[in-house]
Amino acid sequence: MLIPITLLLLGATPPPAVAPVAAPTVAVAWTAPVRVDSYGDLMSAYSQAKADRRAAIKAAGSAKERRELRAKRPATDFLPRFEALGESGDVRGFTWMLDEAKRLGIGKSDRLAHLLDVYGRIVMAPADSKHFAEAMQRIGEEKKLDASQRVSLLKRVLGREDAAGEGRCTAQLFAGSLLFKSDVASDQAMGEQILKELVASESCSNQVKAAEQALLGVSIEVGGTAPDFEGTTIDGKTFNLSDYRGKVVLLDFFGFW
Amino acid sequence: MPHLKTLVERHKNDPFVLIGVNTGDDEDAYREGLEKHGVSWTCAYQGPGKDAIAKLFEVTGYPTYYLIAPNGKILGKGHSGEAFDKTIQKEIDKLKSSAQ
Repeated sequence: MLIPITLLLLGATPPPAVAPVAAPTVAVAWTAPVRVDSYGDLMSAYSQAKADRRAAIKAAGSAKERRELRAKRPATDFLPRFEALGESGDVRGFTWMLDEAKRLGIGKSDRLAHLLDVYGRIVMAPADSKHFAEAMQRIGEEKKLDASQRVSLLKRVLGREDAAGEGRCTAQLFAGSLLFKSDVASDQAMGEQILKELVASESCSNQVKAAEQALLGVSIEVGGTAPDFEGTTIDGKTFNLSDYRGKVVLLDFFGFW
Repeated sequence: MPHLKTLVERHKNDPFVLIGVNTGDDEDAYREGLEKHGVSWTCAYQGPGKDAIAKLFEVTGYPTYYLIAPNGKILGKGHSGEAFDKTIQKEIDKLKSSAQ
C-alpha cells in the first residue's frame, strides 16, 4: 500500500518549530492600518503613480528637482498595500513583489534572498488564497531557482493539512515532476510515487494528464520524450507525431511569412 | 527551404521523415509557399492565430527544429536545419545496423 504523500513528506521534512514569540515589553510605534484593495484597483493606482512620476520628472525645472523625484519610488510606497493584499488571500499581492523587485530597489545580489523570502510567504499564504494554483506553477517553473529549491518550497504546501484544491494539486504535480527528473534515486522514487498518487486521485482531475506525461518522461528538453500531438494537413488529413515511432524525425516549425 | 528539399531527397529511402508545423500563415499564403518551395513532406497547418503545437514545444523563434530519435526521445533542438545533417545520418546508420 502506498503511504499517503502528506505523511511521507511530514516524516521526511518535519515542519520547522515555531519560535515562541515573547510579549513586547516596549511600546511599539503606532502604524497606520493598511487598507486592502482589490488587485485590479491597486494595479491601476500603481500604474497611475508611475505615470505621474514620469510626467513630473519630465516637467521638473532643475536637475536637483529631477533627482529628488527619481529618488521617490512608487513601488516602495505601494509595497505595504500589495503585501496586505497577499496576506488577505490574493497571492498576486506577493507575486507583484517579485515582478517589481528592481523597482523596489532590490539589488542583484539580494534578488535570490528576496525571491526565496517572497515565495516562502506565498507557500504559507491562506489556504483558500486566490490565484494560489498559478503561484504554484510559477514556483515549479521558476528559472531563477534550482530544482531542489523549488521542490522544497512546493513540499511546504504539500505538508500543510489545510492546503487543498487546485493549488495543492498543482504543487503536487510540479514537486512530483521535478523529483522524478532528479538524478538521485530516492528522489526519483518519491517523485514517481507523488505522480502516481496524482494519476490515481479523484480530486486532481486537471493534473492527471500532465502527471501521466511526466511519468512517461515527456518534456521538450534534450533527452526527454517529445510530447505527442495531432496535426492536420492543409488537405484535412490528420497524423500524430507518434505515428513515426521507429523513424528518425526532424520536426520543423516554420512559417512562409 | 532548399536545404530541407535536399535533405528529404537524400533520405528518401531511409527510415527518416521531415515533418513541418506551420504557424502564422493564412491559407492562401500557405498554399502558395508549399508550391513555391516544392514542399512534398507532411506538414501540419495550424491556421492564422493558432499555435497550439508550437506552444507545446515552446517555440519562440522561427524556424525551430527538433530532432527526434526512433524511440521518441529528443536528440537536439536549434534554429539551423543544416546543423543536424550529420546526426541524422548517424541515427539512420545506427537504426539500419541494428536492424541487420
